[in-house]
Amino acid sequence: MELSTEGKRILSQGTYVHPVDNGAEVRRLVDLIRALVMREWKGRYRRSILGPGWAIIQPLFYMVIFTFLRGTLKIPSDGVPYIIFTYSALVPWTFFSNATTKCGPSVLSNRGLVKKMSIAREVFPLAAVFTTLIDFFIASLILVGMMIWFRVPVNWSLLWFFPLLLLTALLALGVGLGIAAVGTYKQDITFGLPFLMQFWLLATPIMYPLSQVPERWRFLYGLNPMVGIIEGFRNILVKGTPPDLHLLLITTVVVVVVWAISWPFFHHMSQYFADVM
Amino acid sequence: MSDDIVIEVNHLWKRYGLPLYHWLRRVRNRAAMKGVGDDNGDGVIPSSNAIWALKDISFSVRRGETIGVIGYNGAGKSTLLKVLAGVTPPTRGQVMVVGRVFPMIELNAGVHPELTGRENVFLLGAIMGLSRRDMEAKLPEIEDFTELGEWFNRPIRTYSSGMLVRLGFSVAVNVDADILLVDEVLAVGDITFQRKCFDKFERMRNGGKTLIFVSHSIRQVERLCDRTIVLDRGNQVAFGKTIDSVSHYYQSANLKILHQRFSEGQEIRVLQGRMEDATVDIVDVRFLDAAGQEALTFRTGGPLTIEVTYRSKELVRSAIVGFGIETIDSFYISGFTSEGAGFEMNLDGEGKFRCTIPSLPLLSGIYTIRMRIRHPNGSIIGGGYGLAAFNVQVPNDIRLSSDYGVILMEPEWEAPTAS
Repeated sequence: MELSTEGKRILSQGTYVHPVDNGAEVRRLVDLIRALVMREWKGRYRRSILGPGWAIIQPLFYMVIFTFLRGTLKIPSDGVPYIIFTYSALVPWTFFSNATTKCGPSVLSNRGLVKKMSIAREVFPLAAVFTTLIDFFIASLILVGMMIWFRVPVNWSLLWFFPLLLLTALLALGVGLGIAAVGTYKQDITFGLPFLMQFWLLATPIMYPLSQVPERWRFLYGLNPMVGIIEGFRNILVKGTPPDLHLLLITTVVVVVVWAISWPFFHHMSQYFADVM
Repeated sequence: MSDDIVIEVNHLWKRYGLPLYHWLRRVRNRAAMKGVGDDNGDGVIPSSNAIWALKDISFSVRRGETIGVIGYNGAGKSTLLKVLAGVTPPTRGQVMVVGRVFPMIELNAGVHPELTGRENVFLLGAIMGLSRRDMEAKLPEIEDFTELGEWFNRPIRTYSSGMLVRLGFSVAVNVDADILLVDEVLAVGDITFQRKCFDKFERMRNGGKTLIFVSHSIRQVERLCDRTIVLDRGNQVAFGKTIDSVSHYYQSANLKILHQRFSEGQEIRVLQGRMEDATVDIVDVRFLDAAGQEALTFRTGGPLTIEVTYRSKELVRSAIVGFGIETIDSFYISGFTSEGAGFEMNLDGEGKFRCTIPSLPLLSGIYTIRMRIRHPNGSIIGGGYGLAAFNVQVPNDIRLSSDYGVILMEPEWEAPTAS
């Protein structure tokens, strides 16, 4: 067994040194995350009739509501069919929203493991994001069906799909780490997050196009990292054009800033998770 | 640090919770009290209101040793294991652990009730650090070990608690670790399961693994451990050979019993475990030495007199009094009754009776008394359990093969003869 020389330091005042084989540790983490995702995925729908169908119902439900609202509010949709216009935004939004929300209680709901294992606590939010990713792919199946039905032009800009997805996952995990770091101590933020997400949904061009936002608010509006992501998905999935790189740059900067704050914060707070369980 | 040392704990202090929270409280207290208090500023000396789970613990463990950790409830035993496992950080001091650590605690942590035994076994494997290849290779063996049969493919929410215990343990026995942390794991499960646990520990010990063993059962610690740490409210009060540590623990338990006995003055004590609303009420149980003086410590082979003070609501003729002697962990050793005593045990009003064991056949330890008073018609009219405790010490002139055990055997040897 090869030992890393400096070992694993967990602490500032007291020190806990436990030299570990880094390769084996990484393999262990990967195995554990996979097992946690499988547990959630298999366990969650075992007592339901619709099963994984619930992954589709949530965005579909919003789509129906928005379609009704649109009839009264006269919302334009950049010249594309409104159903696919809004659904193509709702699928990545649902992923982001559910992944972030699930991160909050992810540590607390694994308290049995936190209390007995010294593994990096990041695995729990990470597993929550991966589990939601499966839902995302299921909901995307309907989206593919819609793209075929509405004869959406398919071209090379579709290759942006995975970079955009990665950016969404990173944003969800970044925000989620911060939520989990606080939510494990006091759960208020976990309870309040669904309301915040409703507000965030309205502050993102999902039921309306970006062009509806007044020009003078556009910069402030663009600081919402989901604007670049949602517009990007809509461009490549519905319009067959590449994403707005300017907006994506803002999103990337915000993601980096979020991570620079939330990860060290989570890492510090996570040392004491077992103390409060 | 020597190559052979696998655990080194150096002036370990542990206080639960975020340091920030304690710091804020200290600042607030200082502002309120203007420096009054026993906190010297750097926090090493605990302030009176700070709760330290562990205080200044230092010890080291060599490869292949089995170390016991004993102490009363809340002594910090589990906290020490958590710190060693790296689950919670030390507040002060240094802890160094070399080798793969396996905490043998809450073996079923992480299971999902809706998943089958088989699915959960794979999950537990990943949690306990077994690779998927290992798991697939060992699955038949694990399935066999669980003795679950067709239940293995059913959701574990339908399992009995005994089945659940077997599930976690069957995976745990396959984990290959250098250091095993055990916390009261033997308290659960039936007798065959406990047997399997012991066998596993013996195998690991023989395989040169290091074991840290937390238990309330002094007997288990005596049997398994080379050296033992005694904790008391976070303080390390003893660390050395198990025999020495255990006798230290017994002494402190003895002091505690003495303290309980005399702290309430001459008032009538409420006897623990006494039968309520009995016809014959047990008022007091005392132990007397050869001189007839109340005593708590007796010698193996010496006399012990039990004196019972009773209060009877009515005249009971020919009552039968039975005594039982138990260890403090409720292991029943032996009993005797007043049948055939040669007189009628007539109990009426308030009074006392005595019973003497002329030559006490018990070895070192603390023993408790249970008692039962029966009417000649068979109904139980008084008694109780854990009524009083006494301590036994083996005099130096008695030679034993080992330093622990319960009963004195006095063999007669015969010299070898040529045949």
